[in-house]
Amino acid sequence: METRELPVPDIKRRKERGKSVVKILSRLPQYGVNPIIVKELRSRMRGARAFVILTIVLLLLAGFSYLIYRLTLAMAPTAGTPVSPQIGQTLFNTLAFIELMIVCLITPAVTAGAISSEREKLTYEMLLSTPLRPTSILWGKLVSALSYVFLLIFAAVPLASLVFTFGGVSLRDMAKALLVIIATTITLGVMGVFLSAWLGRTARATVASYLVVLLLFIAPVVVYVAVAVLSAKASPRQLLMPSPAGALFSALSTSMPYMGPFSVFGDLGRLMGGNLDIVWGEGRGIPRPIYHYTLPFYGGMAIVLYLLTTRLVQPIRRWHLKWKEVLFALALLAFYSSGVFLFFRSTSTRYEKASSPPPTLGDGSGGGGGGIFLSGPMPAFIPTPPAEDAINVQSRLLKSEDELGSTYAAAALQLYRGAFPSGEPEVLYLVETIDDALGDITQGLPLQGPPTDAVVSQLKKRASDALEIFWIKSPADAPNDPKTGVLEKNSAVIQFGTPMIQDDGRMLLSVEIRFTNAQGNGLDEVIKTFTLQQVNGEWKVVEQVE
Amino acid sequence: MLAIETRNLTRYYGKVTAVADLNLQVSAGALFGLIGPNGAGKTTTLRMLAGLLEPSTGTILLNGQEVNHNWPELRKKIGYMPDFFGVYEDMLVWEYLDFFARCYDLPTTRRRQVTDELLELVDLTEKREAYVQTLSRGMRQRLCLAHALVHDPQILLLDEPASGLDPRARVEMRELLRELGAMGKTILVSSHILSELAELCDSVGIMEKGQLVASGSLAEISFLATQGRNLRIKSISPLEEVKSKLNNLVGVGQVQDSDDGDRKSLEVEFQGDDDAIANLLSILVSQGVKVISFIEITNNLEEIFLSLTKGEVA
Repeated sequence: METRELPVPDIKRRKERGKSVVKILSRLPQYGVNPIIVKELRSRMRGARAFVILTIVLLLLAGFSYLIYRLTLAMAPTAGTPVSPQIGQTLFNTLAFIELMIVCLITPAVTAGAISSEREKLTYEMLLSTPLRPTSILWGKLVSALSYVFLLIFAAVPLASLVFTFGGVSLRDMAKALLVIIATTITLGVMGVFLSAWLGRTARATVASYLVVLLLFIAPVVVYVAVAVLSAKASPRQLLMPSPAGALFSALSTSMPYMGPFSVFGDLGRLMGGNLDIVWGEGRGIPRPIYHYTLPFYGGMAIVLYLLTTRLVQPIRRWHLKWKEVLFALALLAFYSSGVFLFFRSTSTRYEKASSPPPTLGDGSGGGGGGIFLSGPMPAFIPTPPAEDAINVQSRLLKSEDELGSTYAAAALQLYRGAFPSGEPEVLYLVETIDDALGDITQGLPLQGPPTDAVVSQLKKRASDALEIFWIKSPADAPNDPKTGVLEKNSAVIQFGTPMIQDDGRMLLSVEIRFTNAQGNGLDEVIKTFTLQQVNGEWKVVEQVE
Repeated sequence: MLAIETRNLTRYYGKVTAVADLNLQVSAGALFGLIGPNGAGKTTTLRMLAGLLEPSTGTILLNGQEVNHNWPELRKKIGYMPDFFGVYEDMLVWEYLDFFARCYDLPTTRRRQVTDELLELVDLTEKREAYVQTLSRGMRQRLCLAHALVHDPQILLLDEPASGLDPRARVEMRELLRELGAMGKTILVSSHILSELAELCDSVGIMEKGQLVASGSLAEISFLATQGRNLRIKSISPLEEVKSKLNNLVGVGQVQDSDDGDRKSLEVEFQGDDDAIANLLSILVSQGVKVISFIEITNNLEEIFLSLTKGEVA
C-alpha cells in the first residue's frame, strides 16, 4: 500500500529551549499571536459586515453632531455667553453619551457568544483537546471581541475632535470621557465572556448581559433616589458608582452645558453626581467625582470575573485549585487594591483633605440670585439644599469678591492683549450679566456673574489706571463712532461666560471680545476659553483651552 | 508496548455509571476498534482519554506515562476527533487547518507545509479556498480527521468517524484509516457499526453498559464468543417434535426458536467437528424429520457482538 509521510513536528527544537525563563515566557499567551485572535479576526472582519456597521455608526454620529450643531445654534440665548463653547460642550457631551450607549449595546452582543457559541457549535472540545491553554482561549476571545468595539470607539475620536474647533472642551475632558468609555467596554466585555462561559448558552448569556447592563444604568439611580426619599436627605453619591452613565457624566461635568437645548445633560450630570456636591458638599474640600469610584469598581469587577472565568473554561479539574493559582489570584487582587488605595491617597489632598477656608463671603455676591441653584427639569425628590451653601462654595475657592473679580480681569486681560490690534484698548465696555439669564443659572457650576466693581478695580490694577471701563447691558449698547457706524477704533466690548470650577480646583472661563476690524467697516469677534488657577494667591491664566 | 492503558477507569454522571472499571489495553501501532451499542460508554471513554472529561476514579496511561497534571504535554501526542463536531463559519478550509496548526504552535513555514500535505492526504486539495460550511458531511468528516493530524500525533482517538456517511464516503474513510494505520499510528476508533470495524481493525474491544465485555484480536474474540457452532435448521415437520429429537442427540446444546424469514426455524448450539455435523443431519433425516434447510451460521463480528452482549442487554 502506498503510504505518505506525515509531517514530523519540531519536537527537538522545543526540547532544546532553556528551561526556566523560556518556560515562563512560553506561558505568556503563545509565542506568536494568539491563534484564537487570528481565527476570530479572520472571520469577524471578513466581508463587508464589520465595515458596514462601522460606517453606519460613524454616519449616525456625524448626522447627530450636525443636528446638535444646528439646534444649539438656533436655540442659543442671544445674550449671556458666547455660543461657540456651548456648541462644543453640547456636541462633545452628546457624542460621548452616544458612544457610551453604542458600547453598552455592542459589547454584550460580541462577547456573550465567546465561549458558549463554541460549545453550541460543538467546536469547544476540539479546541480544548489542543495544547492551547484555556486562559489563552479566554484572552483570545476577549481581545478579539473587544478590539472590534475599540475600533468603533477610536474611529469616532477624529469626529469627536471636531469639538475642539468650537472650544469649551479641553483635551483633559476628552481623555476622561475616553477613559470611562474604555473602562466600561472592558468590564462589560469580561462580564459578557464570564456569562458566556457560565451560562453555556449564547441566547441566555446575551439576555443576561443586557439585563446586567440595564441594571447598571437603572439600579443605582433607583437606589439613590429610594435612599434619599426614605432618609429624607441626600443619599451618599457613592451609590451611583456602578452606573456607566453616572461615571461619564461626572467625568464630563466640567464641560456640561448649563444652558441651551441640551442643558438636560447638565441636569443629568448633577443627578449622576458630577459637581452636584460642590454645591451640597459636606462643607470641606471638593467632593471626589463619581468616576473615581466607578473606575476602580469596574477594574475590581473585571479582575474577579476574569479569575472566575479562567476556572469556568477549564474542561476538567475546574475547581481543583492549585495553591499557585490561589496565590496568584490573591496577589493580583492585593496588588490591584493597593494600587487603588495609593491612587486615592495621593489624590486625597485635592479632594477629601483639601484645606478650605471658612466662609467669609456672606453678603450676597455679584448680583446673582443666590438661592436657586437648580433650574430646568430637576426632579422634586432631591432635597433642596440650604441657600447659604452656594456662598460657601464660592468662598471655598474664592475668598472675596475681589478674588472673583480677579479671575474675570485676568481672563479679559489675557484675551485683549492677544486679540486686540494694538494690544491695549483705551476704552472697555464690559457686558453686564443679566440676572435672570445668568445669575440663576448655575447648573453644574456654583459661580455667579462677575462682581462689577471688583472686576473694574482688578482690571485697572493689572492693566492701567488710565483704562476706561464701562458696564453695559448688552453689546449693542456700546456707542458707535458717528463717522464709521461701528465701534470706536480704540474701544472693545468684552463679554464674559460663566466660570466653571473643575474638579481639580481650576476654573474654566470663556471670554468674547469685539472690536472694529482693520478695514474699519465691521466688527471682529474673538472667543477664547481659559483655564485659570490660583498661583501665589493670585488668579492667573494657565492654559488656553483649544 | 502499550500505547493506551486504562486501569479501573470509572466515570459517573450523577447516579448513572457511564464507564465502570474499564481496563483497556491497546498496544502501540494497533488499529483498535471499540464496539458497543449506543450508550455503552464509548464516547465517555474516548473523552476521558482525550483529557476532556475527568475520570471519577481510575487511571489512564498513555505510552506508559500516567496522566495527571501533564495534560498540555500529553495533548501533543494525541489527536482527537469527536463524534459530533461543528465547523467555524466564515472560515476557509486552509484557514481551518492553519488555525489548529497555530494551536499546536507550529512555526509559520511548517504550518503551510502541513496544511497542504494534510489536505492532500484527506483529498481536499481542491477545496482549499472553499468555506468550511459549504463542505459536504463526508468532506467535513475528513477535514475534522485532518485537524487531528496537524501535529502528527502518535495516538489517534476517533469517535465514530464514519457515522452519518454514505457508503462511498465510508469506504473512503476506511481507506484513510488504513493508510494512517500503515504509518504506524496507534488508532483507537469507536463505532456501533460492526461491519465497519470487522474489516478494518486488527483488534477490538466490545463494550456494553460501561464495561469491556471482551477484548483482543478478532480471532481470539471469535473463539471466546462461540463455545461451539451454530446451526440453523428449517423443517416442515412440527417444531416441537424436531426439538425433542434434537435434545436427545449428542453434542447438541441449547435449541431455540428463531423467527426470521417466512418460516420458523431452529437455532442449535452444537459442539463437534464437520463430521459430527454431517452425522447430525443424517440422523435427523433418518428419524423422519423433513429438513428443508440446514446451514451453519458463520461467526461474523455482528454475531459475536450479539452473542456477547445478549445476556446483559436482557
